[in-house]
Amino acid sequence: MRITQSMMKDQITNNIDSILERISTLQNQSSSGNKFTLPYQDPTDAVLTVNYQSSLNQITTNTSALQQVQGTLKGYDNMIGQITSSVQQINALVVQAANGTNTPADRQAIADQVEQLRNSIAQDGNTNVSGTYVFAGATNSQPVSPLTSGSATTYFYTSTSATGANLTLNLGNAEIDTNVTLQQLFGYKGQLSNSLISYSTGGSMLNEGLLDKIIQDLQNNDVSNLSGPDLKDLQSYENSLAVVTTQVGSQEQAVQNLITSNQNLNTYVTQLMSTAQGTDMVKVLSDLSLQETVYQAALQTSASSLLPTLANFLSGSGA
Amino acid sequence: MGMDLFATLNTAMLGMYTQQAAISVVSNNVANANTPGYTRESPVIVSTPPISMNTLTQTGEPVSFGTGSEVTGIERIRNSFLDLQYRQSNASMNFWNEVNTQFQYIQQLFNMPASSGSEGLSDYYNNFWSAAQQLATNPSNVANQEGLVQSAQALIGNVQSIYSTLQQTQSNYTSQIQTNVASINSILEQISNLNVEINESSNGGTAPNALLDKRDLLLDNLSNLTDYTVTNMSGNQIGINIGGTNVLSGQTYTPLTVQAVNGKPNASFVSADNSPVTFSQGQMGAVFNLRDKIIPQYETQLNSFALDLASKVNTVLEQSYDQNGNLGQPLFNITTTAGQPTSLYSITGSYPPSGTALDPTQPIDKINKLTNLTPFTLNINGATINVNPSVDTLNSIVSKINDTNVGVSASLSPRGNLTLSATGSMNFDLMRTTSEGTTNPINISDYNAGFLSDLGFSTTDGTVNLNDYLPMGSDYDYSLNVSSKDPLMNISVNQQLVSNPSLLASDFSPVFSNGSAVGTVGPTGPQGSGGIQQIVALDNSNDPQSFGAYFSTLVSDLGIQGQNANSMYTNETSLVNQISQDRQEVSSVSINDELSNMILYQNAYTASARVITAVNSMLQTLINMVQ
Repeated sequence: MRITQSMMKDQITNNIDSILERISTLQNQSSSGNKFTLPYQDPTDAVLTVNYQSSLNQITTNTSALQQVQGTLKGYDNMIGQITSSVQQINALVVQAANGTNTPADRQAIADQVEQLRNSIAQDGNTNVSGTYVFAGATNSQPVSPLTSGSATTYFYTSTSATGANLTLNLGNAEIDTNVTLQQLFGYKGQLSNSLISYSTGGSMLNEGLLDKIIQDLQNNDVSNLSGPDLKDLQSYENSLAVVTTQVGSQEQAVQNLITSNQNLNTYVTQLMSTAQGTDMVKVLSDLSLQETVYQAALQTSASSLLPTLANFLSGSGA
Repeated sequence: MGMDLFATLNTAMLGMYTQQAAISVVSNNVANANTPGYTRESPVIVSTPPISMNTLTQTGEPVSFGTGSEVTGIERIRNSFLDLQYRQSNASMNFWNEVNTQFQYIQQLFNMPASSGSEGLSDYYNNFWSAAQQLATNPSNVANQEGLVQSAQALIGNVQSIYSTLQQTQSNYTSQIQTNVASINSILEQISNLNVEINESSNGGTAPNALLDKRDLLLDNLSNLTDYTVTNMSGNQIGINIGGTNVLSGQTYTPLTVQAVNGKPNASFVSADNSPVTFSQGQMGAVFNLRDKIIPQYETQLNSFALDLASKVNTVLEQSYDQNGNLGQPLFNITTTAGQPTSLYSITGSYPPSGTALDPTQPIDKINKLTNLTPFTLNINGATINVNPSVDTLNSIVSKINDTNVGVSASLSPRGNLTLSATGSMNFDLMRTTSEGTTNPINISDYNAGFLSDLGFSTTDGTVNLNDYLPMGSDYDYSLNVSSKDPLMNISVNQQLVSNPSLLASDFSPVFSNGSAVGTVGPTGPQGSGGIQQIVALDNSNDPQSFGAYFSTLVSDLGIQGQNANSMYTNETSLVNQISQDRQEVSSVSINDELSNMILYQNAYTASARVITAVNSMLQTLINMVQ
């Protein structure tokens, strides 16, 4: 085969170019930590990376949504705790008032205390967290309103399908309940009433709540009512509130489980993504040092092979 | 008698002339060792005709005496088969070089997966999705509402920015076509001029090697730009044919011209003498392929994504209730320009009306209006779909239609209205309007089963009257007409929602009593998030029609086509290098080769001179004898 100087020059240039290209790819991989910078370098892993990125984004968003719900549920938990302790105080007061030794004045004083507790319970129903009334169901306006007749003020809430709406959040395949309504919070099944606080169903009629009845009985000195149905209904209410507490607790548990599983999923997908996208540093670095050696060898041999021709050895007129 | 001494003297002299001429060829070769396109030359040395003579000893039988040598010509050492191979592979390499370079650019444009610290198209969509999920968590929170509107703006902005860059690239190609055509014309003109000169020299009997080299170099350069075929003509002239059109024949060439198409700046084409010229290889082939095939493919995908997203999100919002209990506003304005052609993108059944919702998971004969249906067949653009009303649900009918993949995709609104849209393969136009303005409406029919008319489509004998859904039609309210040209550039985020994000509707919770398939729906309150959750669910990863799937398809198309372009380029480059080496092996100047020839010629020259001295001395001897 005929080999000419220009052929050798072309061959050497091509070879050195392709070594440099490999070195540049490897350096890019080692400095970015990624197997590829553009999809054509690894289409399969590029598609996987895009999919994993969007999964990670969904997992992160879902986790943040779950944490918000968790915060709200903790709030409900606290609130129910407060109401439970207020109701227990009322229970103690009613037991005290049912004792026949009390004078009407004593009962009036107890009635005032119960009224205070009722007001604070009613106010709890208006809890607002960053612009949202947490007990308002699907609506977002103050659910408990005061009603003044004469010198007496009582509180009532409106019970409709909107205020009683159970809100749910779908996260992937999981559907979680995110709210507690006033109907759940105050409602119970009793003899005297079916709610702790008075409520309206939209019309002008007000359904009297248990606490309002107790206050009336205290004011009317109705000892038989106080010691009988009032206490019984308070007990029924406490039982029903305990059910709500358990529900909120189990919701919290469910949300916590989802958060944990999302975190595990996050770790898992992050691992998958680093497998798809990340480069094998050991391999890249050893390849790089190999290519650098080849490059230096190529330069050295080219420098010596391009020089001499027959012209250098002719002893003619010039040489 | 035999050769006389003077004849021998002449033979030796011819020898010196011949070697001298040969040395001059060597000298020219060495001088042109680094000249591009130079073909090494070799002297054609032949012996001059012998003379028959009687000799003293053999008077009856004449003997042939050699008379010396002469240089009859100087030939180029070149293999025309390798030239052909080189030009073909070079055209192909230039094609893939251009495609490969542009593909890397397009991949950077989409930026998926995003390089660290930047955001690609899929990241913008992910942000939009996250904003929707956050809004679903707390729908009356103003910051969340603001977040969704802002992320929608960023998303649409990014899609449009990619799209207009693609369009910019197309118009760059159009101007590159102009430049390349000028280069091709210049090469053709030079070759036609060379043909004239070559013809003249060839007629004069001399081989015009330098001119032939020049022409070969021009042909090599032409193969950078396009593929072509060469025909040999009389007098060493050539003709050139590009894509089936003769553009050069000997001394005359037909200049290529760029023909603009009215109203379509990026549809210009090239013609020669009024017949169109097509390029399949070389830079020109690549530029046409990129401008007319590859880039439009990605533009269609972007249009498809944007229209699908905007129309589906709008449908959900328009059937949901806002904070004030009113039906919601669309998030995206999809506009058309007056006087510009429009396409019928989608049509929607008017049943169920506002306030009524259908349960898409129940068999359709549970829907009061559809109880009388017997098993029937739907015909969508030629594909037949069998429906059994007591088994099939609205959901299953939608997937059946989508599975046929005949250019019509189906979806359901939150209330359960059936929407049929034209896909990218139909140019987003159910009417299939051609560029001349004639239409060929897609056939959508239930063979008079009553299904389509019950769902509120305008039908005649079971076939949907698409004309009723055009801008002047009676059912225009139930259709989406989009701009035929660049529909996604006519999408913007509703300014009313930008200035007042609290108007964003999020509430949609239908009530189905006792397992009924028909329920009621109305505003429940500002904390209701059923609508926004449907937007979140548009990206259900199990659904092949989901938006996440767009990005998988897009990245895999980009990746696989890009990888193909890259490996084709690499392969063609090594092929061209190989052929180029083969060609050089034959044609390039080797200094060693030339110098060894030089020594040979030099020696022969010296030897011939020595013969003259010898003959001279012999003549002296002869003359001395006479004295």
